[in-house]
Amino acid sequence: MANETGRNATRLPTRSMWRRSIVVLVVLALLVVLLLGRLAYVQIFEHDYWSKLAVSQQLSDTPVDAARGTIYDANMTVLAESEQVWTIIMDPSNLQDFAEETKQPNIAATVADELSVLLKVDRDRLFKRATDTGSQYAVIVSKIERPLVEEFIEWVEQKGMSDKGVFRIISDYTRSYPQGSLASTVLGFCGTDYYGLYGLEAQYNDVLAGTPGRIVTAQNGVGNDMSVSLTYEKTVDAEDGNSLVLTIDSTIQHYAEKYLDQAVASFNATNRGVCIVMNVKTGAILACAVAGDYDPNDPMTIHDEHAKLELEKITDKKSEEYSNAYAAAQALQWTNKAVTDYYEPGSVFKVFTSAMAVDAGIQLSSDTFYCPGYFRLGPDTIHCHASAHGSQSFADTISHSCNPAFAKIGVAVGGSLFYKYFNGFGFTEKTGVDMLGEAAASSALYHGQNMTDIQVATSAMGQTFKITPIQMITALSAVANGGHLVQPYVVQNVLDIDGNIVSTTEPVIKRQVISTAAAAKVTDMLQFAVDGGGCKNVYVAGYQVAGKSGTADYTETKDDVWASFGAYAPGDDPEIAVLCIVDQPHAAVVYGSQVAGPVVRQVIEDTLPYLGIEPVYNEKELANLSTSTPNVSDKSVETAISMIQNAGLDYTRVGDGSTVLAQVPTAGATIPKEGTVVLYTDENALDRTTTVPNFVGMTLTQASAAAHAADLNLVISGLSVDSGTAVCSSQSIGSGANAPLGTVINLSFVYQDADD
Amino acid sequence: MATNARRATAADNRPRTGWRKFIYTGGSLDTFFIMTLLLLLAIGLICLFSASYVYADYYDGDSYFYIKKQALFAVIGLVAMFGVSCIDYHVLHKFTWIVMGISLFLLVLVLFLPAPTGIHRWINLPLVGGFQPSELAKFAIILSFAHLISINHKQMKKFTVGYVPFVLILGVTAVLIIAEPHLSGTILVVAIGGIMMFVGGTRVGYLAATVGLAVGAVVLMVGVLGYEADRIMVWQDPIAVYNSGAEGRDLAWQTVQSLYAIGSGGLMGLGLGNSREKHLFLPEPQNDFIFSIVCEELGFVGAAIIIILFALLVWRGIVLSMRARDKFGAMLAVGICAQIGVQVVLNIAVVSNLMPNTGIGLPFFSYGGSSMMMLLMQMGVLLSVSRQARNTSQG
Repeated sequence: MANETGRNATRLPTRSMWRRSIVVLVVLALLVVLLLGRLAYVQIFEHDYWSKLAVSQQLSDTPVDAARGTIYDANMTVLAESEQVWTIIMDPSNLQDFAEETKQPNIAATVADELSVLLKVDRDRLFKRATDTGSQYAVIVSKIERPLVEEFIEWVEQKGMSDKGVFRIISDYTRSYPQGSLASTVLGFCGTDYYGLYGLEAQYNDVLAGTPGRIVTAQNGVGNDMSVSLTYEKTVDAEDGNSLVLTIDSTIQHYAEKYLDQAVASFNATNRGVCIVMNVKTGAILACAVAGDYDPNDPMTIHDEHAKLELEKITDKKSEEYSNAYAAAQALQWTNKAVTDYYEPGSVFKVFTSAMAVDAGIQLSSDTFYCPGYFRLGPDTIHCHASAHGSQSFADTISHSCNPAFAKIGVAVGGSLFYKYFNGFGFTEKTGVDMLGEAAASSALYHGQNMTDIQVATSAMGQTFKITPIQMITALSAVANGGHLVQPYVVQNVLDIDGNIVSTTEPVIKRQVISTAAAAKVTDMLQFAVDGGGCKNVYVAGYQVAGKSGTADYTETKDDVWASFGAYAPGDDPEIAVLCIVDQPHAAVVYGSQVAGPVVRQVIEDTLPYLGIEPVYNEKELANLSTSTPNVSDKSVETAISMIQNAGLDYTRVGDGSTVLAQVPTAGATIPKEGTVVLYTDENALDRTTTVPNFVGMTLTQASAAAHAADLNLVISGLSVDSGTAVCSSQSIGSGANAPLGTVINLSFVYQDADD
Repeated sequence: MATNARRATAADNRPRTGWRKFIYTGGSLDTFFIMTLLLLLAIGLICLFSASYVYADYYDGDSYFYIKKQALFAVIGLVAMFGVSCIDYHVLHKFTWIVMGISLFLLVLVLFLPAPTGIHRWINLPLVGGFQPSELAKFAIILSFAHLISINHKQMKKFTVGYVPFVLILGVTAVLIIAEPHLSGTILVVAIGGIMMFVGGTRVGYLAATVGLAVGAVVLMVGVLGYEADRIMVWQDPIAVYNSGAEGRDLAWQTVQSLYAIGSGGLMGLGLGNSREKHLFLPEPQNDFIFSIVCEELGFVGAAIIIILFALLVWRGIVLSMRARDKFGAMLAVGICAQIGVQVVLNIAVVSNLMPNTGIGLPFFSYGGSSMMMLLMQMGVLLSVSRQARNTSQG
């Protein structure tokens, strides 16, 4: 037994083994403590850090686009709208899995065959993408509309692919501008992500864009939605954007664009043009036309004819020069010239010089208005555009646009007062109009408060400083509305998606610049200039237009000018102001009164009746008024003649019949008082026509004689009461055409003696 | 003491002839050890199911793909464990060099088998599936070292007896495993061998010098020659590598996803079954990185409980080893415990990025039939040792 124990004892593990085992255990225990410490560090101390990173990959966050708001004009005509469209995306790797799962090895070909027909996409390209099984993302078709999407979903269900992750459908919105290029520089456009880039789209992006929603779902490591056990989904609805109702009226905008474009084209203007129509009492902008604008549905294409010609000159279309020029032309056509560009107002500014002198009560001697053809101021001499106006009244100085007289008036007003009014009319500040990109007041050529006499003298003539068109029409409105400087605006209301008004723009009167009496006096003088003076080209019968033309030379280039015209109407309680600027016209005559005047006149002529403002004619205008022809067809010749004479019209009888078979002009046509109605009484005479003469270049007297000789009727526009030097600039039916006797032809006249 | 001695003596004196002389069913199985083991095994199976079902469903179309096999191997393994525990472990003396021979043969063989991935680690067997010769090598080292220590224990302090043969065996085995290449397997084998040499009585000076040389070699290879630079970079700043592009993302993917999982777990975890990382983010969540999912689902508390259970298992195993009736049994038990302990420590150190990423499974948790079978059979050997153990500790 002892032996046995002894033998066993020698075989037993030794004390050393025991001790060293303890050491091993202690080391392992220390390592366990280390591991526990490490886990505690990662799991508890760094928990937030790691779980945030983990969650960011475990959740898929899909944005849901909000519908962008609509932009309406003042009459709720849609100018810009968003439409929901869909994009279809294929996951070719999942398609392959589906093929293996369902044992359809040719599924890619089937998909390509059927989808290319359904979605109208290229079959081979689709097949190539479908078989690129390394890819998980292939856009099949984008921007398709609802019916097609529904057909597609039905097709996917038919194929049993609904839950296989082969296709994804993403909804999206497109922006469209149903009126095309109308008011495009005001509206602007959106980028591919429907973020407003230019114009109101950019200025009001936050209002229009709404708040995108999001769908947060749990996803697994291969980017699919969770298929097993863990499902998590949270949806935040998108809030659709609000809509804008503009002060812009599409009809007036259309008038302004039409006449401006005609002027820019016929006077070959190379630096675009602007025509703004503003409500003088509120500052609401009724139209803001920029010639050389673009189609916001296709903003990348250059639309301006002149810019296109310039680009054509660069022969290498792949050169850097071409791409730079193209980009510059794009940038130019996207800017709203009415607020971004500076120009020299020239003689239009004389409106404000007059207003200053009248409002401040500057005593002006008759000497001030005497024009010997020049004005000496120390070493400098200011020349008049005429040889000499001689003696003239204050009103005459505006009508003549006499430079020496205005230089003298400027000196009489003096630098500090001039500066005070210059500030007052808002020429040293932004107008605050809510259109994108309004340029800060230019200080480039403006001399500030410490002006020398020569600086005041030239500034008084509207030279040596620059302003923006929006500044000019705002200041002009102040003279028109009795001296109140308003803040122009283009967004009248903001509507929510249900059409409720969220906010509305109240007119803001910043200050009174001149007294109402002073404003009325200036208006009288401007009406005088229009009625019979140098501004006759904006005369519109029945509407008592007040206005002033201006032609300012570019100092940088010799032959370039800004031809502009500012006017307001009607009468003593004006409603609208219209400003037209044609930048760098190139023609034989480039005066503001000839280039911009007719634009302003035609816009006023169309806009005031459209706004429901009735014309009020004076006696002379009544005499010249047009009337409408009575219906005398099928009546006896005697009855017809007496009806026509009762209407104050003349007649010509053709044929020997006793009954009127036909009349020209037809019943209800507009012809001038004392115009001629041709009565056809003989079947054989019915097809008698006359050749339309060329009226262009004729004075009113010559044109009337020619029309009478040809048995035609005329409707005249552009003429003041006194036709004076005006000549016909265009005719509604071209010369040489055959027209039935008595046809009414519209002639447009432009005065040639207008002073700027 | 007397009772114990008498029982042992009685057992020895039992007539043992023929095959019966290899069988010993006396003594008792250690309840504490077995309960701890079964608890770990049960938790391990539950965690494996939770970690694997998404992966299994996605890649194998059957959520139960891994748990079915693993559970089957666990049951077979438990039966094998009980069977092995009934074998008198002294029989193993005779098989020492046969086992070592087979181990070396397989380690060489595996290098010549076709390996599509370039990693010669598995031998495909019918029924069992992939078998890793390095699993057998670990046991071969434990067995041969226990054998050598038990017969040479008096001369263990001698360089030629207590150092050279061990280092030769360990060296050859390690070189073959590292040639697979299988870095973590090599580290594990060397660590087990080193611990057994230390406990067995090899001079601390020799071991210290060897460890010093090894550390120097590693520093030279990694620090100067730039071996495994990617792995070291990922280890030092996984997020930086992860964010450095597609290549860096691939390199650091597993480590970063593991940290996402562990970090997301927090104190109490997301709850069993609620891991998000197992949804195909963490690659093969049923394998080496299963503990990350455990940490994510059960939190720090659950992870700590499991680590403590492993610690208790190892502690109890060492206690049992020191109660063994002889040095052979003691060293077998020490080696087996060392394997469990080192493997757990290395695995958790890797998943928590405490050390660079090497593929090493977590015993009883990670998926793998051959590993589970080998582990449980070794548990059987340990239980066999415990059957013949003395009832009280010597010290």
